[in-house]
Amino acid sequence: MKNRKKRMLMLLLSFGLMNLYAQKITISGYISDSESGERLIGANVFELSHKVGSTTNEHGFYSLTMPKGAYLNLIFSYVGYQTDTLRLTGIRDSVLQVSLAPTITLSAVEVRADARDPIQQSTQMSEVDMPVKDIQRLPAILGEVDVIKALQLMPGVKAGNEGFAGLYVRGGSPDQNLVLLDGVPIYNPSHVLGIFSVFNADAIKNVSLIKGGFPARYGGRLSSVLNINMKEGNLNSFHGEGAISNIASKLTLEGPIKKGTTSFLLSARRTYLDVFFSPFVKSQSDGLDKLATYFYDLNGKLQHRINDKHSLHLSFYTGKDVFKSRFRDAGIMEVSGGDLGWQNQIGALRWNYNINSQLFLNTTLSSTDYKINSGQFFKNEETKEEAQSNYVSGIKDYAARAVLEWIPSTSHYVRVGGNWINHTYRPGATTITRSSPTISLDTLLGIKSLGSMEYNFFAEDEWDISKRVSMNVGLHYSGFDVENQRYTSLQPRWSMRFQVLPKLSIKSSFATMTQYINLLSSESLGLPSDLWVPSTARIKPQNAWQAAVGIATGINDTWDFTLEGFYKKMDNVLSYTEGAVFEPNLEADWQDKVEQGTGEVYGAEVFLNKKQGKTTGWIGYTLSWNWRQFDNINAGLRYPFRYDRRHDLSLVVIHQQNERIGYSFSWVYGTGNAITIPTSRYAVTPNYNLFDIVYLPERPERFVTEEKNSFRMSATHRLDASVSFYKEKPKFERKWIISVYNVYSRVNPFYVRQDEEFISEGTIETRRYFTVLKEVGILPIIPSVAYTFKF
Amino acid sequence: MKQSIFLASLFIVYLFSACGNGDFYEKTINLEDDFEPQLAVTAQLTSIDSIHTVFLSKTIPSTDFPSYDTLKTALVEVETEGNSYRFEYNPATGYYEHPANIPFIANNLYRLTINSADFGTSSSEQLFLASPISVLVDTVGSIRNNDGTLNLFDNTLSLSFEDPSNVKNYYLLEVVGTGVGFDTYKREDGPITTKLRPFSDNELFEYNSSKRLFFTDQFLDGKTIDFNFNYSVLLGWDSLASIEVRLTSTTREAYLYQLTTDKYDVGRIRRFTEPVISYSNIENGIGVFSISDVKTTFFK
Repeated sequence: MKNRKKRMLMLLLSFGLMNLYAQKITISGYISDSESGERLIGANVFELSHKVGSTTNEHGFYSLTMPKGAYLNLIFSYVGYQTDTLRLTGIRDSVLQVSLAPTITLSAVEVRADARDPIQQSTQMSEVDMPVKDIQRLPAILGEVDVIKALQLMPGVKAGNEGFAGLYVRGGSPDQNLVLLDGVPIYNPSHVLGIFSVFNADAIKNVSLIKGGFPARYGGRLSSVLNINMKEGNLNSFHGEGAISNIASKLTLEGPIKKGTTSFLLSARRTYLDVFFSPFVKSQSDGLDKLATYFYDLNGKLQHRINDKHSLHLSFYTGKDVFKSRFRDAGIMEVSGGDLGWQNQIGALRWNYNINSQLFLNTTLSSTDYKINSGQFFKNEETKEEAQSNYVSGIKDYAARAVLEWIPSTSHYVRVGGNWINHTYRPGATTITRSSPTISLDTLLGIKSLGSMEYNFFAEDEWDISKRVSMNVGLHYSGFDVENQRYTSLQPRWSMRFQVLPKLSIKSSFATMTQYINLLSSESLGLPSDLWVPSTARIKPQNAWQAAVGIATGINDTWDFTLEGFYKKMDNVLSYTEGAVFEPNLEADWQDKVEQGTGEVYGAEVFLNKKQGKTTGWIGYTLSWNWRQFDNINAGLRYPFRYDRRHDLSLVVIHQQNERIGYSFSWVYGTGNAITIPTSRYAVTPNYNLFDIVYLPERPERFVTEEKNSFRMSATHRLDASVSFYKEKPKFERKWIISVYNVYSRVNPFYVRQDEEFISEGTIETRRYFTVLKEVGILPIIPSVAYTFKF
Repeated sequence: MKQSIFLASLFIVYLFSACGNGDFYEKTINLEDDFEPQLAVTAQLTSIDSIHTVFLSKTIPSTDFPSYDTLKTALVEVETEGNSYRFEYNPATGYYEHPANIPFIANNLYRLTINSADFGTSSSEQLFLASPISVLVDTVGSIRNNDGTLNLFDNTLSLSFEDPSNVKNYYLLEVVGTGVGFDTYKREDGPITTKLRPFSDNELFEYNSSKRLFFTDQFLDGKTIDFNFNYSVLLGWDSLASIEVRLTSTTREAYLYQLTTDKYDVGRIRRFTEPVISYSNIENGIGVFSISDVKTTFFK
């Protein structure tokens, strides 16, 4: 009896579902660039009669489910492309592959508004989407446009130091950013000690930064997700673009291997700082024989579209920084030198499978390898004595990830998936070799490699509850196995939009995040020699939760405005202990040098964006507070984080005067960094005037640092400008870009130097020392010229 | 035309900027504005003092030329168990002094009070803690050279002591050498007494400064401890006549003061050191008040 009821219920349900699906049809497919075949991310498809729409996913796929039998009027649109319309009768599921043609004439003079969802209709908040075309129109430093520097102009995103590419998002530290290039993490996204990022704008298709309200598909970091997608490569014809500037050259080539099916993209960049600066530095330095300072990048991608349902994408990136110096003392026939270098290598193989009109599967296998090395050597050419030490550290991952996207109706967009990562850490190992006619030494010191396993599963749904209310709700579960210890975490996420007026929405979000790997970073350094280390049995994973609320309004087609307030609480954040010395000291366990504590960040962000017309740009302002607290630092009292920045303002103006000339300006202002300096001193003995501390049993005076980070460096502000001259020929485009970094040459402090100076009163015994603290700026006005070409 | 004007303007700005000298990118920090001096107290009394001293001065901005005002007219008292001991200012030495007859009794509370015209009342309290019962230091290997003088280098000493139970103790281990060498105060060769630099690989020592070894009895409570250490001496010694090993049992406050002071001094020499916050246990002032028991062993 019971079974019969059950069968009946199943039958009814089946009929119900069949009935439901019988009344619906689904239009799906890809939207691509008609010239290159490149699939477009975030392109719009909108059906006018039912007033329903959808956008393409990260792989250019869309799916729109509507009532059966109706007359459909479909509009396909994307920023910078001509809109396409298609009319058909919706009698069955259909696959429509759509190609949009880029707009040509209008864009040269007047920028059109973003064709994606109006800001008040998007559920996601705290997100920055920057078209690469906009990034390329911003002022450049040393002739190089930079993705991360462009993001630093957005509210809630800070540069750590003047001119550097570090990202401090809503008070988090750089290791709390999940930086993904084609879905693969990059551990150190900077070149030249942070002046440039590793992202070559010519090879990039899309840049998106999420600062809060993280969808459940992301995890593993506390503060942000920076998602960068490389171009796929032109499927239809061979093209290239490149640039020559005063510090670097780059070239990108792309084209079909088999037209319409298989394509390649190869992009290379190399700086030649050493070529220009070496002669100057050598002339200023005694004994400097050789100086090599450069970096290079190589991006590559192969795409193969097996058929409409399957495609394979193979991408790789390799980049390396090299600093080498050689000194020669001809008198005693000695050669010495030092090396510092670091490199990122990533590779990914992605398989996209369009299972049916409503299901899309993306599977990725990837590896990432980051390592640094620093070394010193000495050689006496006469005695044949040699000594060398080389320090190596790094992290290597192998990962697999699968995401299934299901779009059952226009009201739901469901993603489920999982991710598995095998981490191998090399916290540090030093090789010391020494040889002479009488001695031979070859020693390896250091900590052995350490492995860990990280995994996560997630499910999320973008749910349009009604025309006015939508939400993205999800769960992210993660785990981490290390040293016989297992950590797990269940992280609820949601973001919500309530459209109070046609052009005004109120948004809110909540997310919890867990981070299992940490960057040991010295506040006094900020060099790539910082170490990546895992959570261990002693060091607990970092956790955070963040809540945000705000309003978003598309004032009209030209202007957008957002105002957001946020609060973030972090636990188990890491810091070096007081007095810890950063050095590759391999005999000491790094866990003995660190403390775990809490962080608290709160503030408000304002963003006013003019997105259309001859003149575009934005004003971004952030008011924020950023605190840290550790039991054994600053006597247990909370203190401002080094990059606590009360006010941060950016103003960007991009003006396209005509088809041949365009200008851009950016002006930034930020409260000075919070640092620790000795503010006062006192004598501890009447003999304080004897300052030869080498021989005295006790220093006769004490310096007082009363509170951590209680001193504010000077505020930073800077104007950058650039002018571009365009010329287009039938098969060739060229552009001259003249840019000036720090136009009025403001001395923005980079660090504080403490010098001991003395007044000589006749003899060495009576000289009197005193301390001088100086703010040192390193980036003055820097003009640059770049020539870019495209064919 | 407009392009030309724009470019010309940029070029002019650049030229003007480039005319600056090298110091243009450095700016000296001025700490003098709004600086308020504090009373600075150095009152580290020990059981082996020949005379107890307290030194008072005023803080100055760290970037000032080191010329300190010494307080000469303050009222300085140490009080315990209802007894008060007043320290008198000695113009000859610059210290407030008291004969070393203040009874230091285990677990008694001692209160330092300073009244001065400039700063009003400043104070601090300290317990006198139980000291190690015994300290024995022995040598490993030869401590003497062939000529009979003490070996200056590579001596390994072995220290044994019993840690009192049920009390959280903080220890400092110092080595003082006496002999003939360069007298820093007199600026000439002569008899000198100065601290040597102890080293140890023992994990017990949580911090190994250039002047002393620091440790707590976190893992020692109630046990007899043996460990080895050696020491180094700086140039400037002609011969070493005796070595004195001092084991100081002190309070948490005095320990933290010494620890942060030493870490700061080391950080001044070694770059890329994380900042150290100064520890102080003086109310309405800065500095330290401590009463410590010191056990010593000599090698002659």
